[in-house]
Amino acid sequence: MDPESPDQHAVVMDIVLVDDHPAVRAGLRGLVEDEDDLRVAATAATAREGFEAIADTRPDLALLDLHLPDDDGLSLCLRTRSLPSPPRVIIYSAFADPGLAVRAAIAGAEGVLAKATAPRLLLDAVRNGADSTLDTRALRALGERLDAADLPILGMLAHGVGQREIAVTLGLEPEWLEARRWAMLSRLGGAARRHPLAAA
Amino acid sequence: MSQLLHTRILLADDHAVVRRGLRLVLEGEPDLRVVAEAGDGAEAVERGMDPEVDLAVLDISMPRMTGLQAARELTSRRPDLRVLILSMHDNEQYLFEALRAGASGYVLKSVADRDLVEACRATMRGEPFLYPGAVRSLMKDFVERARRGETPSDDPLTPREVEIVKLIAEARTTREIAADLVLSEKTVERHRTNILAKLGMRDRVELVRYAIRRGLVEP
Repeated sequence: MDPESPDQHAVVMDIVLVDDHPAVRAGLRGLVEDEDDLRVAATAATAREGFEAIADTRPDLALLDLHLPDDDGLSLCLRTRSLPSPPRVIIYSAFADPGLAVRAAIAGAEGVLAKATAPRLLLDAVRNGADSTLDTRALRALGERLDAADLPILGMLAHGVGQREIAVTLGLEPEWLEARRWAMLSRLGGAARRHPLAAA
Repeated sequence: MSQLLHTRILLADDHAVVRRGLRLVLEGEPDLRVVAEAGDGAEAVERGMDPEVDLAVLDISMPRMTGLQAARELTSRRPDLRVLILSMHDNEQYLFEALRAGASGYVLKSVADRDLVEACRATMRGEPFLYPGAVRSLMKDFVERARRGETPSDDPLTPREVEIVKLIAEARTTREIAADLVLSEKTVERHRTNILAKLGMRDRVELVRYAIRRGLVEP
């Protein structure tokens, strides 16, 4: 945004941060608060608190950690995206990989950001959207583990088709579509996690 | 040497956001100051060699060198440097590794806002810092070792006394030991008496057995 621009709106983007690590919350908060056009609406350490904060403050964006003590960020994302006028969601994880990006798309997230992402790129994704392209090999690999009936859902999600449009296209009730996505996520749940000490 | 007013800290974590958050936590305290940052273990070793750093706070999992490797390297090259390991794992194996690597504390990232400041201060006072679960793990390990007849890792002897036990077990005379360690024979005698008292032993034979059990001498 051009700071000289006379018709500049004072539009501030509200963000909810959910991460169980206080240092990550503090770091993200510091990063966001340095920016005039971004604001932290709330922070939370658990999925339960996070969902309440999102429902209460109705932010523009939720940045969700993948590993939360009481639930994972993906199911929090799916629940969040089922709220009326839901926020955009970005999943924030130390273990970002193409498979996670596919699961995040199923959960309705806009994209995945690795925790190693440089702060400048993180802010860029917050403002302009995270990269939502999915790796075709990962799509195929995860698709093989799903019910054939769920593949059209996966395909549409991968192409950025909105949940309402998917439901209409497939003639599904929205609740039923959400239930299918839950089932897809839980089937893909045990995705390979790397050894925690392995170099990033 | 003048009294330091604050502890100068090296902060090593591969995530810039986490470094920023930790810096905020630490710099809220008047006695702590972050003077250097590192984004991986190798960089941490490099920065930690700077004598201007009093304390290195190392994330356990970092690229190039893990925090454990960096801790080992730093504590062997700079014995005066204090090291704390930050970890997302409440896992006793990593905890034991961290202590073996020379760290004087193990702080869980999930409670870093609460524990890190206290850990830094404890470490600079020369005290260990462990979270309650870690203390339980160590006690369990201690009890299990004791049950198996292993010597507790908690050593009642000072390093000097251990040195003397080894020499006694090697059948050196008091005079030889005194010459070796540049002590008077009387001092060596006094050490010997103290050692026997601390270990509750009567004579050299028991002491030799103890030295073997501790791996100070070969049987």
